[in-house]
Amino acid sequence: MQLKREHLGNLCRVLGRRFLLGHLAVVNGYLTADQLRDSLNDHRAAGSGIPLGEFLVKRQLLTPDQLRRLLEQQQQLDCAPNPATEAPVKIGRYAVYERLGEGGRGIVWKAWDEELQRWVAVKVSRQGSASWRERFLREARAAAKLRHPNLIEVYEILHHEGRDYIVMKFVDGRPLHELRLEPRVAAALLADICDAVQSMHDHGILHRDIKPHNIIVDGEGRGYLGDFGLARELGTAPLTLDGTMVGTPQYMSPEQATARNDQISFRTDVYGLGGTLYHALTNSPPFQGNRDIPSLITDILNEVPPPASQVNSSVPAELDLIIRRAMEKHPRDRYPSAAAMAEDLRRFLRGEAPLAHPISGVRRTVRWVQRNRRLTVAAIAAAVSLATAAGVVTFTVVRQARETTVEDAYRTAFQSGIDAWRKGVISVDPPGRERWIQESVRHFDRATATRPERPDPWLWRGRCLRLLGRLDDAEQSWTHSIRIDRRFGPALFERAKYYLDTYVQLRPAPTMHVSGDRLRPGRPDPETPEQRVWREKGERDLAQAREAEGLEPSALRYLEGALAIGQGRLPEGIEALRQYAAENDWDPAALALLAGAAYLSGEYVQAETYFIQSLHLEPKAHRFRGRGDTRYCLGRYADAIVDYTEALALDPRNAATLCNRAMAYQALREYDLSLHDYSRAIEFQPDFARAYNGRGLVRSEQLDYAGARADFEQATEINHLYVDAYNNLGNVLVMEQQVDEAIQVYDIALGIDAGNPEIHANRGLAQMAKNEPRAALVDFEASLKTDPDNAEVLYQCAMAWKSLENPATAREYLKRALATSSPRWPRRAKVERLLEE
Amino acid sequence: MAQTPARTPFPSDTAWSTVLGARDRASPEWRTRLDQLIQLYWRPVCGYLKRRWGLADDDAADLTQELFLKCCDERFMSGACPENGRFRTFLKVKLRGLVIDELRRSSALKRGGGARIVPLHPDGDEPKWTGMSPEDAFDRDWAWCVLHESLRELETTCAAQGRSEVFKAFWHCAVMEPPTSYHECAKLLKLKETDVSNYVFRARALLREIVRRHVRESVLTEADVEPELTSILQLFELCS
Repeated sequence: MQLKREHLGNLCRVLGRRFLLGHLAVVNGYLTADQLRDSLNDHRAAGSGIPLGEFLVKRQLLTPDQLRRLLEQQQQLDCAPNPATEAPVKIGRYAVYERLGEGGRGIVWKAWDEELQRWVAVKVSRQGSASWRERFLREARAAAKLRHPNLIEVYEILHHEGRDYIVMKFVDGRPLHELRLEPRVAAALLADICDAVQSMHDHGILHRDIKPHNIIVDGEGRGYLGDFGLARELGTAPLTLDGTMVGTPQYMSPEQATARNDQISFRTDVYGLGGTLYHALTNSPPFQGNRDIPSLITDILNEVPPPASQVNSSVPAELDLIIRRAMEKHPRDRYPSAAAMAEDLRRFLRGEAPLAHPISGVRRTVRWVQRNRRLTVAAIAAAVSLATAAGVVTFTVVRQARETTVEDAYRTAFQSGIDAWRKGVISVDPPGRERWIQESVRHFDRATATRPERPDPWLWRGRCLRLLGRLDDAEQSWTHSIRIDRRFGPALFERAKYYLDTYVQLRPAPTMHVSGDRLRPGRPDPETPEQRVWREKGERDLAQAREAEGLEPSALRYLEGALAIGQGRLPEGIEALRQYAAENDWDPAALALLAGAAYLSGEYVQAETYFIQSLHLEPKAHRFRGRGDTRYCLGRYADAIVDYTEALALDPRNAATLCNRAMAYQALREYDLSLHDYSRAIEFQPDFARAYNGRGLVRSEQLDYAGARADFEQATEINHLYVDAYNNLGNVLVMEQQVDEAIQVYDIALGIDAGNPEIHANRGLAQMAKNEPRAALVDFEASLKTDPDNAEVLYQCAMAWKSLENPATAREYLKRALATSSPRWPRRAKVERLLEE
Repeated sequence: MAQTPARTPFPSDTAWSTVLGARDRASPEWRTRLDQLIQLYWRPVCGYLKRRWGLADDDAADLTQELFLKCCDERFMSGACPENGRFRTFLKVKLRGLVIDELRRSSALKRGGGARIVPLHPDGDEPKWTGMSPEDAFDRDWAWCVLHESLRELETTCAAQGRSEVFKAFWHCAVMEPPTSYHECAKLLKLKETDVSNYVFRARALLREIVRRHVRESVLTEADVEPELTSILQLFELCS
């Protein structure tokens, strides 16, 4: 049967939840497949939030009664299996079929062993603490040691998808407490169980929870003892501390009820056997469980249950004796072993008088209880508090708090912290991500409080705080971690990364200059004192990280790369980061840094690839902006606008991004959109000189020279060293025929940035406008010194020489201009014509 | 020396990265897992290479082959990290690098020391996705492979238990287009109508569990399984 495309719709509707009901309507014959298909399309087109079922009723395709039936079916079908309470459908090679019952530590399922082709019983542990798990496994190990025809055999212990399972022999029968047995049959069955218990004792294992519920009787009347949940090997440390009770109250021995675990012995199990026999004969426990627990415990300690023969007149008196002997209050007075009890039961079955004789008396019990009075009171108090708190009747639940050591608490907190962090970092919606990370911080706070001397939780706490944007707190947390362990590599790395990333971010990107028809980055600015502090801190940590432990060599490459990029050593930085990224191509931050460095080096195609990879892993506003800048430099203005818009969706009030989008609009001659973006950038950041400068450029392109001049002046007002703004201001003044003023402004600009080829060229043009070709030539030559291949400047030189009536030199410059220009140079045709003349 | 915290038992211990990155290559489990991975990812990867980079059939198959051989390499897999989230994302990122390397190489050398991995079920009557991005087609291919493999496993499981009728009932009532009604199916398979609906229930639960297992291996945490499963089903829920 081959799956085909046309099957996919049905299959997914059946497996899913949204449209399951529609499919059921078809297979129940209420709808045709065509009707369903049309209805699904209409339902989708309507886009309404109403459930499909109601939609179909409204369209009169289903009657309300049919809908009700379908909903019932759907509910039945769609009970998603919850591993804790519901059947896990498949456990390894075992296919689970039905629930058999619930044992002390988990639920028991009937399952089919596909390999050995037989039925088995699989017990699933409940989720619990480490000690809980240990008990569960202890049961399995204890039972696995034993082989007896009346013990439920354990086949294997499985660990599957985070849970433990015990695979046992499946006994097709019913638990003893559900059966009514003839006294002789019950006696024979209990004699066998006594043998089984004796075999456990021979292996040094106590059961501690013998009761009718733990005995399964098969169709042939053979009994099997199971549920070793409380079993313990003699000599192993008890998992319960003194003072907690273990067992099921109605069948509990006095020493269990008083939590005297040191007095628990083989004879405790003998008491359980007595209680079980009592139940098998009378169909009720020796002490009633419907009263409150303190009264029950008092009864266990002080009272003798009514003889079984009184409750069930068919019970022979011999069995009363056997029960009394087995259930003596003091262990010393009971049968010395399960074998002895089995022997007495068999004597009865053979018609002989049992050896048991009535010796018990309330008097002796009272004496024993008096000796243990204090403990009794304590046990009752503990029992009351437990029963009230959890509403439990079964005392297999013990106080876990006491067992939880500080180390356990630490590990739990730490692990929960990591789990929450993971959920946070892979979460796609920002609020969800923040919630998880905050939860993670809380766990790590607990971990640091529990084990303040460990560096790891401080490290992780810092990582989470960084994700929350609380960088100062993150730094403190890492500092704490490093203080604990000076050579703790991961914390040194994180802190150095923080310092150097900040350093790189503070370093301004070099201004891009138009040279001819190409863009080139200018020289990096000198470090400010603030930048130097960040760099020095980063360098110190980097040096320490080199000596540290637990750090991958590639991590050092990252730090070295960031430092080099901040210092303008781009090729070196790129190489180091490439080495890092080769091994850590999951790290979006490193890819973004690499992209930024490639961008600054003018490797735009490479930069774009890195930005794409980084954004693919983690979309961030500044990365979209970076990719936009790259695409802008590649002349793909429309793509750049898309990127800036993405960045603004994530960070709407970012003036720098608005400014860049305005530049891209400007390049596409969308002046209104451009002006709008510049104005909003100024609105969000009124001291943003670059925005004024940009708006001035748009206004000058629109021939609004007055407006442009005001903007450039505002830009230089905000930033007295803003060379580009002075340059633009000069250009506007030239356009307004104020050439002398313009030359003064160019002088200021060249005072700030001596040798700037663009300003020299512009001042040269201003001199030409003043008809000063010689002065102009000085500026043009100064410009060509730095930027020798600028065709436009070469052309202007030619024009200056021409006006000085030196056509030969002019001709030389024209030839040079033609040789260095690109085919797209607008003056190309004109220069070719001039040369021909 | 700093304390290293114990690793979480789930998900990383059962996730794809650990299993494939494991040192014990000789273990049958490792081989089975690799085979399974190939079953689920061969088609999406090969298709993605063709659509995204326009590779010819043979080149795409060669490169897919190379990817899976590389998946056996511990270092290659070591880049797989929680931040990657889905295994599909990891594969796409790795594929990009592989293609770039491939384009740099001028000659087509024999790859993988002559070893050849071939999917057990080569392309046959499989759907072709049109009118969507290579990324979306990759996801659909993958979802298709998961469903196809899961159904196959369900069929085998039912047959092994001597309960082929469970699968047949499911096939007729839940997969076939148009689906057979319970009533018709009961007549066809000579079963009681209630048995048919019980079998469909049983098979659905088993199949969901099988699909969930595949999905679980492709995501990071248990909490991601259900949303991922839902997203797979939503890809085709409205198909007719």
